[in-house]
Amino acid sequence: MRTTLSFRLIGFYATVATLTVFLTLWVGSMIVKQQMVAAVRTILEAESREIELLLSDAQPPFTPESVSYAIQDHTEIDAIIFYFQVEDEACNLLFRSDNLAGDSLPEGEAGDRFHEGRLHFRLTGQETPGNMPVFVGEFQNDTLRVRIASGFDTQLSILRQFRILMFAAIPAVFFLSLAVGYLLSQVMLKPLRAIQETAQRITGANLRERIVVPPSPDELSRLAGLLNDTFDRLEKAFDQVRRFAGDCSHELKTPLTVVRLQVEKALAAEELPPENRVALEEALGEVGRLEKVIQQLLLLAQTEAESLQLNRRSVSGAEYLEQFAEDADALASDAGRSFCLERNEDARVSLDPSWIRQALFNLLSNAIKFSPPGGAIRMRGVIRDGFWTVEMEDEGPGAPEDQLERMFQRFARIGVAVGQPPGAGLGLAVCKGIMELHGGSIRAFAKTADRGFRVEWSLPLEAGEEP
Amino acid sequence: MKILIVEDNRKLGQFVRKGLEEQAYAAVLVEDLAGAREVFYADEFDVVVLDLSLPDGDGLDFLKEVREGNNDASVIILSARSDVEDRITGLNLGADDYLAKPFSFAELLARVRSLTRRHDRNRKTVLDNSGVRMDLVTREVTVGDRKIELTQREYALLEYLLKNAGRVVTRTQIAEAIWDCHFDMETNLIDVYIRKLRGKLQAEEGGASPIRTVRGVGYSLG
Repeated sequence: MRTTLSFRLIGFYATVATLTVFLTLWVGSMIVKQQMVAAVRTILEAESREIELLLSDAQPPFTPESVSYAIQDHTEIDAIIFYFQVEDEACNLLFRSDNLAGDSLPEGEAGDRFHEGRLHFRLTGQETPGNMPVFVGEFQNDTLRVRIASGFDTQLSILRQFRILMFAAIPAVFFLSLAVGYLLSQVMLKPLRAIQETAQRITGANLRERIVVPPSPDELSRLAGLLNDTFDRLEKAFDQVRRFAGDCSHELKTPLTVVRLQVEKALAAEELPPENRVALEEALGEVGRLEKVIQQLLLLAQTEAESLQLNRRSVSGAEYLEQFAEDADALASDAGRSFCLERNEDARVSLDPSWIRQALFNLLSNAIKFSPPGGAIRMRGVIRDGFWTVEMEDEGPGAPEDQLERMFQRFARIGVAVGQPPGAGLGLAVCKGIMELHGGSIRAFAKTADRGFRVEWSLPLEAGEEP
Repeated sequence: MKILIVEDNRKLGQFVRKGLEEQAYAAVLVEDLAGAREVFYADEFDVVVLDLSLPDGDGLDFLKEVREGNNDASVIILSARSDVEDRITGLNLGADDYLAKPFSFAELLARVRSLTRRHDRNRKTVLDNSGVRMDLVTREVTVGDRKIELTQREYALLEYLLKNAGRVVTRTQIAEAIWDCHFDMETNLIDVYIRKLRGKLQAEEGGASPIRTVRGVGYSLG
C-alpha cells in the first residue's frame, strides 16, 4: 500500500510541477513575443509618419520619379533597419528601396479587407531578400499604399532559443521533481511507515505493543490513535478467546474424564448383558472421538491465536525425514501400501520436531487412507527458493481443483475413504495451523495425467543457509 | 503405599480414589490447595496426584512447596491444560509425570505403578528378561542364543519395554517416550512396531512372544 501510495504521490507531484513550469514558460514566451511585436509596430508607425511627411511634399499624381525624389534619401539612411515599397491605388509600383534588391515586399493576406486610412500590422513568415523574416506594416491613404518592413530575425531567433531551452528544461524539471517528490514522500510517509511496521509486529501472540502517536495533532496522529483503539479492542477480544479456550478445555475435559472413567468401570463388570456391553463400548468410542475433537479444536484455537508455544530446535531436514521415513514405511506396509522417500535434500531448519511429526503423521494417515490397496506413497524433500519443501504424493483420487483450498478449513470433509470412519475434518486444519506457526505454508495439488494427488508444505530455511 | 489425590472435581476425584483403593492403594482425596497442605504435611505420602486448576490457586505452587521442602514423594500432574509449555514447566518444577485430561483409569494406574517402582530401577548396562537380552553398550540384542537385528525405533521400543519389564505400559507412555508425541498420533504406529518386534523376537513360527497385549491399555513384557 505504501509503495503505490508513495508512487502515486511522486507521480502526481512530478506531473503537476512539470506542467506548471511548462505553462509558465509557454505563457512567458507568448508575452515576450507580443512585446516584441508591439515594439516593432511602434517603430514602424513612427517610420510611417516620417515617410508620410516626406510624401506630403510631393503632389499627386505620383510618379516613380516624384516618390523617389521625396523619400530616396531617407530610405537610404534607414536602409539598415527598414525596407520600403510604395504603390499607387491601382497597385502600380512607384518605389522600392534599394536594399530590397528588386524583390517585392510580401503581401499581407487580409490587407484588402481593411478600410482605408487605417494601419494594419501583420507578422509575416514569408521569405524576404537575404532569407530574412520581416515585419511589414501597411499604411494606406487615398492615393498611396506604403509598405514598410523591418527585419524580424533577431527577435525570432531569441524566441526560438527560448523555446529550445524551454523544451530542454521540461525533462530536467520532470526528473528533478521526481527526486524532490521522492524525498518529500519519504518524509511525509515516514510516520505512516512506522505505523505499518508496528502494526505488522502486532500479532495474536504480541498484542501488547502500540503505535507511537506522533506529537503533532494531524491526520496521521489521529490515524495512529484510531489504530491503537482498535488494537485495544482486539486485544480484549483475543484475551476473551484465549480464556474461552482455556475455560472450555477445563470445563469439557474434566467431565469427559468422569464419563470415560464411569464407562470403563461399567465395562469392567463381569456380568454384563451383551447389548449393554455393545452400547457402553460405543459410548466409549464416542468419548474417544469427542476427546480428539476437543483436543484438535483447542490446538486450532491456539495456533490461530499464535499462542501455542513451539519448542523449536535446529535440525537437519534430511535426517528428520529419514527418521520419519522409517515410521512411514512401517505404517504403509502394515496397511498394504508402499512408501518411498524418493529425494531428500539436506538443509538446516528450525522446527518443533514433535509438532511437525504430528502434522506429518496426519498427512501420511490421510495418504494411506485414500490410497488404493498396493498403492505407492512417495515423498520428496527439496530445497527451493529459501524453503525446505516436502511433498507427499499418493495414488488416491485426491480432491477436485475447486476443493483444494477448502480442504484445509475446519470441518471440511472431502471424500470419504471406503470402510473408514469419517474423521471430524480437523486434521488438515491442524496441519495448516502448525505449518503456519512455523512460518511455513501448505498446499494441495490435484491429480494430473502424470502425477498423483499431492500435498506440499514448506518451511523457511534457517537464516544463513544457502538459498 | 499411600496416595494423595488433589482434584477439585469431586466426582472425578472420588472415582480416582475408589479405583486406586480397589488396586489396594491407600488414597486420600482433597479438593483444594488448603486441604492438600493440611493433609500432606500431617501424614506421609508416596505419590501425589495433583490437578493444576484448583479453586484456591495453582497446583504448580503446591508442587514447588513440596520440592522446596525436600519431600521426595512422587508427583503426577493431572491437568486439563495440554500446553507443552505447562508440561515442561511441571516437569522442570520436579513433577515425575504429567497426564493430560481426559485420561483413562488404566493410563493413570500404569503411571502410578511406574512411579512406585522407579526407586528400585538401577543403572544396568544389560537388560535381560524372558530370554531377551539387550546390551546397552554394544547395542546387541539376543533372543536365547540367536542374535537379532533391530531398527532404531524397534530398539528404542524394546529397550523401553525391558526397562519397564513386568508392568503394563500404555500406548500414550510409549508415544511420549519413543516419539516425543504428546498428542493423538492418529495412527496405529505403536501396534505396527509391536507386531514387527514380536516377529523378530519369536524363536519359531507360531511360538510364544514375550510381549503381551493388555487389551485397551497397552503392552507388557515379562
